[in-house]
Amino acid sequence: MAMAEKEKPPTFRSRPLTLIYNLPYGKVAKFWEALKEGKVITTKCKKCGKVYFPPQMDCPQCMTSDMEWIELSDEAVLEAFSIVVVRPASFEKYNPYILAIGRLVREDVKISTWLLDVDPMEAAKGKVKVGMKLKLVVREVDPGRPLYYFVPAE
Amino acid sequence: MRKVAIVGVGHSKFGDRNDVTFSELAWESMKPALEDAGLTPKDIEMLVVGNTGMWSEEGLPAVVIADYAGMSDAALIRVEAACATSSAALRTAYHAIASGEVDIAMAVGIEKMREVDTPIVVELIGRAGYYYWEFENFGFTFPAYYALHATAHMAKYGTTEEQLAMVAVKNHKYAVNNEYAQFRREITVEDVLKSRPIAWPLKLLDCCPITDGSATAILAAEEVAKKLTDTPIWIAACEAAGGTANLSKRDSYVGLRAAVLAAQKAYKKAKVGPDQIDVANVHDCFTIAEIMAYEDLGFCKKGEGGKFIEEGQSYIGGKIPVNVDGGLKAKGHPIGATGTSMIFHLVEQLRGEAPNQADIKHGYALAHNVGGTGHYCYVTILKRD
Ligand SMILES: [Zn+2]
Repeated sequence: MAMAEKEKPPTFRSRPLTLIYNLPYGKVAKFWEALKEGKVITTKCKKCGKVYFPPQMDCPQCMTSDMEWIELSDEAVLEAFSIVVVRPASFEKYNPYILAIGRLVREDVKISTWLLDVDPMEAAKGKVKVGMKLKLVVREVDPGRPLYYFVPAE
Repeated sequence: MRKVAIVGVGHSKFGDRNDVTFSELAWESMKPALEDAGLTPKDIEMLVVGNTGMWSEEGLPAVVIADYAGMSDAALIRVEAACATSSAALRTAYHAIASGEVDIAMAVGIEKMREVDTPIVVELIGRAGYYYWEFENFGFTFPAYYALHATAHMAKYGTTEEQLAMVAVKNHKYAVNNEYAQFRREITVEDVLKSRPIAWPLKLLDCCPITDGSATAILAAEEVAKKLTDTPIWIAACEAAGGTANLSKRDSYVGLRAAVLAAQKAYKKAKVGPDQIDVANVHDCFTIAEIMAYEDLGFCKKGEGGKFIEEGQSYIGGKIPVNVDGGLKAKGHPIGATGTSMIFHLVEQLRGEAPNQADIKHGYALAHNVGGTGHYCYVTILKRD
């Protein structure tokens, strides 16, 4: 935005602070292990049958932790999308990417991830439409780090 | 529960405020609020500071501000509800007075977002959702969260990019007369459409800027308020609701459930409907957010928000004037200060002192303050006698 450049007021540079968190994944370790085998699995409450995505080992509806792992189907429908041009600092190494929320037809759960195999520049021109059919896949966008993504079904 | 009134308000200049420290910026709105109420710092029994933080250096904002303002003996608390932080501060102060615990409390909203570089701000705001599942691997950003709603709304109701742009045009127009606003210049629909994409379909001029600022409201119990001022502005309702952290767990992306729930509770508590609201401030962090707000608050039917702005219904003279102080879009959005900034403006409106004055017929004004992307929503209804 064209703002008149004013003279910058004096400031001190603070001491730097680097924050890296250790993110525990032990309770849902199976989810990350399955991705290495190309599968997307999640948890289902044995009592009420509710399917959770992201997976969680507690069902607050039943107040139980008696969950089973199920493999998710791959058929989905696009509910919303956006093309991220201005990326966060830690995502600047990637090209603009397409965020998508897709609903799995069989399980009726939704997944937030990237939509791959579509040029983001084309997505804005009608290549991507809410309601289009998607396929849930496991890919390694970063080598050695398999994750779940959507691609167009056709 | 006791009746609670707003007896004083203050506002700092919004914008790039690297000319002042955190505490100096807070004082810029606290001092005029105290003067407005005819009070001194020693009169404040409880200081509630709304500050989201991270981009500014102070870890204990309430303590630092109280020290600077000579209020260290007061009961101090800092609250957080993302972009609805100072509505949460207002609600906390309101509860303290309504319950009978204190007679006079101050809610200060403050955010200083420009002490760090822009990509860091984008990163930190993007983390305001479910970090672990939506940010860590996929880099969902704050504009993108709303852009997802825009594509869904456009697909379902035929809302257009031009209609989104019209929201920005309106809010920029009204910011021209607001001496506190970050951007005081008019823009055109074409300017918005031509601006560079941030998170398509949202472009730079669909997005609120990154802002520093503070805004303050002083609240008092009925008996005290009547002694302090001839024009107490009553809090008729201050209600809140939440939404899922994971966007993937939402029922739909064409509105914000938290806003619908908070509005229902607020209308019920204040015993009014949307038709009796004379003027409103809604959370237009992105243009699509204002269009969804028209619908979620019942100003128009679901899906007709685009038409509502196109017909000029949210201008002064229309069905209900919305964000006639410039909104987050042009006034700026220092996230922790936005709630009390809305209150500042609506108090001016109900007193008949606003730079862009709406016609006050029923005596009610409404503030709709969303935190995150419908992760929190606070709806406050103010009333004048
Ligand atoms: Zn269960």
